[in-house]
Amino acid sequence: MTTTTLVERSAKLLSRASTRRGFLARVAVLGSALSVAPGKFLFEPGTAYAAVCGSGSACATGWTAFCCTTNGVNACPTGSLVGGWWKADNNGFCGGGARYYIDCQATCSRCSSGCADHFCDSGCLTCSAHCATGSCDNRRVCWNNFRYGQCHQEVSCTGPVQCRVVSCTPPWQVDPSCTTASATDNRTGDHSAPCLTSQYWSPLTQKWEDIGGAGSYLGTAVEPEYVNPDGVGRRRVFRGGSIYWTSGTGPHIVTGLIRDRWAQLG
Amino acid sequence: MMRAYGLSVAPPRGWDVRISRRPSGPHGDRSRPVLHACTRTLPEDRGDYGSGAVELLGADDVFVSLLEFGPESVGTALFARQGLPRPLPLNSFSPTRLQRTLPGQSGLQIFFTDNGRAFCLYVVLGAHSRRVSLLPKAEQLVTSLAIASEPADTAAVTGGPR
Repeated sequence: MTTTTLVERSAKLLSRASTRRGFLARVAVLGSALSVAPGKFLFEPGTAYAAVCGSGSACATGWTAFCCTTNGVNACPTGSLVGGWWKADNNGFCGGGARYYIDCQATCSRCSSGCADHFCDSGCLTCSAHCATGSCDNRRVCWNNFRYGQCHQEVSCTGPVQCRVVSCTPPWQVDPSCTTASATDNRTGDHSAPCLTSQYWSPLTQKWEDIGGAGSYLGTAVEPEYVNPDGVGRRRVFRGGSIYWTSGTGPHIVTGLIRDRWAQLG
Repeated sequence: MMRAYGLSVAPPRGWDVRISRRPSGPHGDRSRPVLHACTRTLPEDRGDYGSGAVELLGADDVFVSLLEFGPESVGTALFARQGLPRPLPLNSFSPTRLQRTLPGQSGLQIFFTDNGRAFCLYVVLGAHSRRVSLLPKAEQLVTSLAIASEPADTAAVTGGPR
């Protein structure tokens, strides 16, 4: 059954006892869930929203929302500045490489003084703290007074993180104000939103998704995707087995005694 | 006393301290030394600003992160402050000054330059309501920190709860 057919059938079910607007919104999320994380959505208990947005998507979890959720585009909103960045390594959203998160800081445009330890009062801001109202990315907006600090270091005082941009391209190649001083937080690796359409799976992650992702016999991953000791291939270990990949062989699933022996041989 | 990468710390009793440096990335990004200190046992998998550790804090716990930036940051407005921030400014602690807002917690973030090296000091208190009593605990750790002018390329060190 193709993804399109699944969306159509699911939409028909949803159309019963539903307003036109609510129906359209639900179809959009269903389509995103099936496109972005088909295995997770079809085989794991939970909602389409959870499958698309990853962990920590509720406002109460304390993370910051994606800019595409709040402004429709994966870019810093007008009036904000790029305040810093971090990365999640071995990330399936970026072909197994690093996925970069860029913080857009609110600026203190309504004040010229009154900064205390790098952050201005809320009265100086043009945004106010609230929870995003995306279909599932309900993280915080203009809330966390925190700065990663690698970008626009000529500005010592800002407001909170307004929203965040995600990219597979290193931030210093996108914004020359950013330095290459690295910061890492792999726990945000699965954060996402339905509007983030430019991410792509690594071949290894695509294989896992194709067989059903977390709902398959491989189950959930127990570690990120890593380069093999030979420096050529890649691997990822799941609860029920492993997937190995090289450019010559493509992705291959290895389970049971064969996997154990493979691991013993390095 | 623990020393690595030109950082040293004499952690008070009960603190778990790690000084580490991740491998630099393949696209030209440069990792720098990071010091983590916590009144709880630090998990192995931690974000540079303490994700993975701050979720474990109880109301009486403190987490401290000291991150180094590159030499290009020295002399910029963000890092204009000179020297480790001592004493820590109690009034700057806030429930919203956190990388990730967690219920009850309080945070402080200060960028500074010390001995020609650029750093960010990030402190998380387990409970904002107990910040007055927790501040001395955090200051005891921060007071024991020292930054040398040249980072020594020594191996990462760990020090479990004492």
